[in-house]
Amino acid sequence: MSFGSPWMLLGLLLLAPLWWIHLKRRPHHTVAFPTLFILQRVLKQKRKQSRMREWLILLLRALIVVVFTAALARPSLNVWRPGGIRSGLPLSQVILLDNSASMRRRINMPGGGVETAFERARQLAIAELERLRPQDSVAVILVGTPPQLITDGLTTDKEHAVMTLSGLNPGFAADALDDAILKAERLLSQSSSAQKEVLLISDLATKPVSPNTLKSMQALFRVIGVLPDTSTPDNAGVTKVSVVPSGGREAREVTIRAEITNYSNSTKNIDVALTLDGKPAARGMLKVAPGQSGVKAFHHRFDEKGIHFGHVSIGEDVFDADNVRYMATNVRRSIRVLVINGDSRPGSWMDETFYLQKALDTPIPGEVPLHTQIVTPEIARVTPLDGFDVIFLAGVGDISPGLGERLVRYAEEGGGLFISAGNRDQINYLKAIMPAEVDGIRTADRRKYFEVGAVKLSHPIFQTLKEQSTGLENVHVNYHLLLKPNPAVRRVVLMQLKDGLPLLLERQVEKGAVLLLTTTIDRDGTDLPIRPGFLPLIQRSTRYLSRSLEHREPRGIDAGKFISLPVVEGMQKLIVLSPNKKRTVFMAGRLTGQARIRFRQTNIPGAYRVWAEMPESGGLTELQSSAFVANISSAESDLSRKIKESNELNRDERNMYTALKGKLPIWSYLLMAGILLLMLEAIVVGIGLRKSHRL
Amino acid sequence: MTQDPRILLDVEPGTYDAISHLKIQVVAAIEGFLGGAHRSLHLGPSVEFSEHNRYSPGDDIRNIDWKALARTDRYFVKAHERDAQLTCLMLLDCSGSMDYQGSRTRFNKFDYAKILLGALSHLLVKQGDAVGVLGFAESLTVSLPPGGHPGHLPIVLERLARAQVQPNHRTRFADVLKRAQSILGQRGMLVLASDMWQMDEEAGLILKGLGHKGHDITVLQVQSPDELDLPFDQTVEFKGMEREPGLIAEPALLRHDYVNALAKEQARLSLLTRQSRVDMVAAHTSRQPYEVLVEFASRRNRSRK
Repeated sequence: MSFGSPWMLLGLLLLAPLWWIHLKRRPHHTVAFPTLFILQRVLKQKRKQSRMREWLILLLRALIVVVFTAALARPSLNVWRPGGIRSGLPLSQVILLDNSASMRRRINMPGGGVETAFERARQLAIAELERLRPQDSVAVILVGTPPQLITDGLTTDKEHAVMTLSGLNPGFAADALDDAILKAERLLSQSSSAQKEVLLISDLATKPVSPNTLKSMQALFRVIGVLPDTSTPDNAGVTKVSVVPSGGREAREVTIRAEITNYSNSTKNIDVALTLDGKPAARGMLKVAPGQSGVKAFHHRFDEKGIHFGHVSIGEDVFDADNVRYMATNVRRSIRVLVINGDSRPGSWMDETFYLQKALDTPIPGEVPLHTQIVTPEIARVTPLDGFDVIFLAGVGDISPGLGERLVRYAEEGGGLFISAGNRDQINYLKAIMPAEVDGIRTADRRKYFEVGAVKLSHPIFQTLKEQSTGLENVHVNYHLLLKPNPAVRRVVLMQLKDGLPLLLERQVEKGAVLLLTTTIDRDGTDLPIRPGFLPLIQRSTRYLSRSLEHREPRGIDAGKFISLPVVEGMQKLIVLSPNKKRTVFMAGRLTGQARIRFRQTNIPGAYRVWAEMPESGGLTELQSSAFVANISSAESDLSRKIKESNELNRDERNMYTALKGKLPIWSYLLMAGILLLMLEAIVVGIGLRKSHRL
Repeated sequence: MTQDPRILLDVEPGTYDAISHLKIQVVAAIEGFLGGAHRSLHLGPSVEFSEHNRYSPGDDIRNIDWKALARTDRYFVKAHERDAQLTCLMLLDCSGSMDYQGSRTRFNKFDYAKILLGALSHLLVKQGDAVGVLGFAESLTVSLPPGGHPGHLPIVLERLARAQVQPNHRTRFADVLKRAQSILGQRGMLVLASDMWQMDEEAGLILKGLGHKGHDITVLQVQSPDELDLPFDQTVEFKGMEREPGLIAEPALLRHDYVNALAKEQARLSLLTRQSRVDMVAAHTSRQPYEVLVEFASRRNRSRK
């Protein structure tokens, strides 16, 4: 129940004075009367009746106050009335025409011939429009993401609506039925028509409407299906494609996994084809049971690094739109690591880099491989550092000032430096980039050791270990460097001992970063290398220092949904090239002051490439990291019916789907009830009086 | 009530004229020592024919009805009633309930009763009967033995005039009726002016005894019209006039049941008086007193015929 003027309910406060007046002794005069004994006799007989009458009158008067107050508050009941039958009153109708990707399916018509579900839906919509009377108004909303109103609001110009419908084609986007219904409700709320209806014309493969949306509906919701029968369509689709590094020595080696789902009733041998950069790359067969999914994996070695586009496709069926799925991958080169070994003992586990090398050389599936080169400090003096992404200094003591300068410059220019000094406290040659100045070495007493305490789990190095054990909890340290506190240097302690002294520190140096491990990277000063956390620590540290963790593969979105493209300051122009070769240009005026910009024209499945014009480049540069692919939503591949037509609903469902929810004003009924109560009150009050007056 | 007993009859203009021609007839036979205008139980020299008796030897032949002999060929002797002096006792109810006047009458019940009894006394003394007065409530408040000489009337009227209502006093009929019985002794006339609301079984039995002894008993039931129809509209706090506990009520709601209850009470009183051979005259204070006296006299005349 809702009230038009709820403040009128304050009138209920009148109940208090009514109660008070009723219970208060009424003013009276005194009469000495001779036949009081007769009055007493009468009163004794009538006392119970009299009390009941008093309470009845009070009740009636209270009800009168309540009923009239409620009537003045203009209450309305939320009522549901069975719909579907139109009266002669004007109708406002919103046709929700399903143009989602699934409407591209082909259907065999009973009279022969094949047409798409959308064509059939369009015919039904036109038929509905032609049924409308001159006083009826109509609007048409396309249900695909995002819902689109294609008429000029609610209009009585049905001919124009028919013309608009005639030129339509289905999209590739998923349906957004809930949003479309809300949009229709907003339209209908502006209409004063006595009858309001939302009509969905669909293949019914859409996601069911949420109960909340149905509850909030004020209009009749009618559903018409376009399929001639309810049989399961013979359809299979490529529902997922992923590209990951194979985990081999070469970063250009990738594994492309295509998930194929069989939605038909029979097992299918599906011919799966891979196309990369516009050329057929591989082909294979996949047997998929009905209702199941199978994965076809292709291994491929790209010739060049950089961004590559492709797609996986399968053979034709009733629904072609899901037979191809697009993909993009940004092939990177391997991460090159230089390890400068300060205590080289070739072939021996006592070598300073023995455990480090094992950790670096372990391939990680799905990750870009690391290429490691180990040199002695002497060789490092003549080794160019520019080609390496990360440099490890493992137990390096004295190095030449020249190498020191080069390492400092290397870090400042964006290189990643991992320093494990061990017991070498003479590393002041790197003072300019060290996270802290070395103050000496602390050694644990015999048969005692220092234990690792807190680990900064929020740091990218440990991010994948947040939910599980870091493997670093039981690390013992026999000796480690002591560092001088220096507030002037911004550093972050990533690991520390239980007594609070740092074990692993980070310092950002201009464009690069430096990590300092205050103990050895072999087993001399710690058992860290044989702990489970050592491998991920080294791998993640290396990828962090090489900025590999910041890498993003080209994004994939559902067709029709928007994507946010990053905007760099000073960008003069941003161009998006759609799969249909359409160029969307964002000029500087729209880009200025924006960190990201939304691109919405993603209706066509395929690869979208992005170019930008920067002031310093003087021309267009492809932003490979902004490229993306759009595919139809995998949910669209499931063509089975998920909602029912209005005429198929059982009673409860019909109440939910085909009931007309409205507000029934009840103030007039309350007013009538109030008048009846007044009459009843007059009768009750007058019952005794009438007898007396008859005398 | 004025203290001048003569004014008593002039309170209601015309009352005296209206009733002066009335001749109060006593239906029941009375015994008395004094001859008068009323019939005696014993047949004797009188102008009033009583009945025919079959002639039997020894009867005075002067009394043979010759006309009856001519008609029936049988001897009948005419019997004549002997006139006797009437002793009448006026009983005046002085209880608290008699003080009620109401808004629709000029007199309260007590004054009205005094007017009626005064008028009757006047008529009776005028025709040579002896009149006495007893005022009572819970006890006797006025007591005047019967007297028939012309100078007795002013005394009667004075006693009546000086009688006062006894506020909050109830009526004890039994006591006063016993007293009346002792005063009257032989058959006489008893006129009781009261609202009769406290007439109980004991008093009823005594009244019955009086009736069976042959006393001519008349009750003038003095009632206010308010008592009959409970005319109040607003909420009223009723107070008792004879020490009854008060009550607050809506008369409009009780009226119907009150009238019914009153009718039942009236029926009880009617039954009681009928069984006691008591004539009861409704003396509503809204009526002119002479109307009541006319009804009183006419009913007595009817009874006699």
